[in-house]
Amino acid sequence: MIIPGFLIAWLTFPGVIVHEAAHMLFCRFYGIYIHDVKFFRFATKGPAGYVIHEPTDNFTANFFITVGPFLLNTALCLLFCLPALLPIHYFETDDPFAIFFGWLGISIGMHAFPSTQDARNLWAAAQKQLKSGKYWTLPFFPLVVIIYVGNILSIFWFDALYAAGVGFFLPEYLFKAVFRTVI
Amino acid sequence: MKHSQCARCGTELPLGKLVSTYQELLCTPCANAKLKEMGVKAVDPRNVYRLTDPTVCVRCEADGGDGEFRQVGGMPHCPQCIEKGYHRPFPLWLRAAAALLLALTVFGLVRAVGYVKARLALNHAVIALFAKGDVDGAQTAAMEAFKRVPESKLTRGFMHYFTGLQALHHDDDTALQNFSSVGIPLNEGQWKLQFLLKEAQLGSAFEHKKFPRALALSRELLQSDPQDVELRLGVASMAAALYADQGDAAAKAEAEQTLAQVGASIAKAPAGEKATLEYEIKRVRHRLETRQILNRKEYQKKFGPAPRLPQAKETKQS
Repeated sequence: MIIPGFLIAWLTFPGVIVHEAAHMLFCRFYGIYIHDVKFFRFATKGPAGYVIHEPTDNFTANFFITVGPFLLNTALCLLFCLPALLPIHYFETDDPFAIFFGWLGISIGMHAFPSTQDARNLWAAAQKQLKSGKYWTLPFFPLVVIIYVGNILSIFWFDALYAAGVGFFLPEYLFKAVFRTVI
Repeated sequence: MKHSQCARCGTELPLGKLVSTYQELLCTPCANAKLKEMGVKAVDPRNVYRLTDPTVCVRCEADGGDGEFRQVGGMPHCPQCIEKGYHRPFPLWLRAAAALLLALTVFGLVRAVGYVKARLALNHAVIALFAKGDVDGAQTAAMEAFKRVPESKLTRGFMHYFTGLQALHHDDDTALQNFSSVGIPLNEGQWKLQFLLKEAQLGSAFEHKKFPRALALSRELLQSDPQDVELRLGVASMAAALYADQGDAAAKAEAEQTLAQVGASIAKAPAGEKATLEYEIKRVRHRLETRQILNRKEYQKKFGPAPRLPQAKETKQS
């Protein structure tokens, strides 16, 4: 089922906020000037949020600013889904507290993947480094492709599957491994 | 703040108010007029753009007088705005929301400990049953899980399952009610719920002296595993009960025949099970000879306790 992207953004707005906050966090960490930030807006066209920052030749900064959302959103998805894991995923209760955290965690996880604009920024930065003879940036090109593919697959709910995998299936696997449960 | 003149009307204006229109510095009205004369419909930002005064901050419009501000991204910024840009704080509402969510998460994780304990209790129940044959221990653990998460169908279902199992093990009448209340899908190969339900129905039929029904159920149970000696003994026991109650000769013959089959199988049974099976065979023979229908407890009271099985078996021997 294809649902308009802006509607999904509205329903999962915490993920958008955390995504932009992650960009901003790494901009601050690397001392990159931030021109403007919009953590979230109810828009039917254009991005639901954005961070406009000055360009930089620091490839490490570019990399972490781009993949920052992947790191922060994934970590917070895992953290916020934990209180919901057993009540919802295992015991299948209707606990409102757990449902809230389940929604929060999944919403955040769904916006873990960098956007295509982020991918373009990283590609341009990697290209620049490559032209100046820094061949160690070569592995980053397939990474950009992965980001693009991830964004395309979100049409088939790949972002939701990723969030569910991180928020529920991974902790479930770890729980069984740590406690050696048979049920 | 720097000033300059409009190339057309000569008006002196701050630099930031002038528009570069096809390389001519004009005020806004003159720029519009020129574009109209040229017949320009769509403005190209490469040819028409507002000038930036290097002495005025683009963010806060602070006037640097004659001194030019530092450029960031090609735009003049005053020192205060530069500081804000490089160390832009997260807004208060975001920090407050993050703090609140963090506090709620900690609360949620502490709360989750109860759910963890419930799940571990269920796990303990399963291990107690399948690894140790400890029916009572399994029921206690399942009940603990249910008390911790009573709103869950899973804990409720398993509580009924293990309580039914315990009832069956102790020849308690509540087995049927509990097995009927499980209400969750269970893999029959592992949990044998339908089998246990039938055993409980058999027990209930026996308790209510519906011996034809009890005999029919015992035959159905035997069909599920024809090699099971205890199930075969169960058929003999029900046939003997029917004979004892109604004098049914065919039932007596079936009991005798089945006992003979059980007797033949005993030789292959392990030592511990052998003693128990022999005890049960004696009980069935007593029923045939005396036409007295004593359940297991009554028989044990009269003739002494049965030898303990090496592992708890859930076949109802009535």
